[in-house]
Amino acid sequence: MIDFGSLMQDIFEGAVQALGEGAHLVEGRAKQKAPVRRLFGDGGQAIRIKSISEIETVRSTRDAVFKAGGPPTVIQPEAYGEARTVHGKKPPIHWRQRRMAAAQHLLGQYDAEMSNRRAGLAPHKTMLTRRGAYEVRSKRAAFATWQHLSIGGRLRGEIFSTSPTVSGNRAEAWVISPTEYAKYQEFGTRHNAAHPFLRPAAEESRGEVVALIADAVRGALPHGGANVEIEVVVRL
Amino acid sequence: MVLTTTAPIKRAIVQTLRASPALVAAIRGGIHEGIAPRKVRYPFVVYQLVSGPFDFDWTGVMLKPLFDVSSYAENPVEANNLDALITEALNDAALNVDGQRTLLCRRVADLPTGPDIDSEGKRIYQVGGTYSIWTDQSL
Repeated sequence: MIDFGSLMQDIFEGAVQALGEGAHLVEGRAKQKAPVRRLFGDGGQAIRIKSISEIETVRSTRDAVFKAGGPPTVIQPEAYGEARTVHGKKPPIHWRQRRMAAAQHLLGQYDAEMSNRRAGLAPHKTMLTRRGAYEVRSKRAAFATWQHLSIGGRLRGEIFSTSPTVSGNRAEAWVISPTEYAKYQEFGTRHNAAHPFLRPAAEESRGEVVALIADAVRGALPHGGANVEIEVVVRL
Repeated sequence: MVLTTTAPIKRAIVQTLRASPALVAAIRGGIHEGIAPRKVRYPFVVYQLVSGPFDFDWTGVMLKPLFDVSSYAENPVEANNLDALITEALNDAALNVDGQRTLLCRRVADLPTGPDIDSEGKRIYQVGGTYSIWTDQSL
């Protein structure tokens, strides 16, 4: 004897849980796509990407190093001559350096470098760009997250997803960007082109969310052989 | 077959908008992608790609991009009228996309945008909507 009431309850609970996972997925994607204020230049710490010709250039050097008794702990081809570092077009995000304490330290470095330049010393690259130094000094884009005060990345840091709420046979989960200027980034204004991040995240995740819910429903069915209709609505 | 992207869809959107004489007569500032230059006259239309996922299967690929199309005007009535003309031109239109077959072109949402102040201090109104376009091409 099958208790259809409890079976439907199990299916629904499974689908609701999967919906929560789906909302997390969309939240993660939205965070990846959210535009973040650029505070850092490459500063000599960019990700090192070697071109094929550079790798070929140091091949003989590497062979020589191995033949001479094995590699040193860290191989630095620059130390042996020709290879140059190719910097990626996009600088790294520098999550840790966005913490206020770290950013203040970098601002100190920036100020010291600027006074050196004014004194006529040879220029060196700084981690913070001029814009970055301004942002850190003015604390314009400062925001608190997880009890840390950070600079920049507020739009990304404040995106969150709600747990699914159930009313009758309907469940809803929301992915929300509460930052007051999120709307201007998402839809654009007269002055700034749009940089949509929530809607692309929802659109790209649509198939995966449906698959998660379908798996959950399939898992809740005892023999996997019944017709269950669940409507999944992604509202923009 | 060569894979074609969302570029011909953009062209088709502009073509379809330009094919509406009422709309062309109403917009003095033209149609722009992303953002209009500072000194463009009002009203004008801006369109922008929101997302453009590709959906491959064994025989071809479906493109399902979302586009925002907004009108900017100095008064809300004009902005809303333009938006209505855009909807009339694009909603359920058979877009003529190079290398692709249009399956769907439908307005799926309104943009929750409000009045804004431009660089000359004028109050301007942005009214628009999101359009879902599905196209199909064999590979």
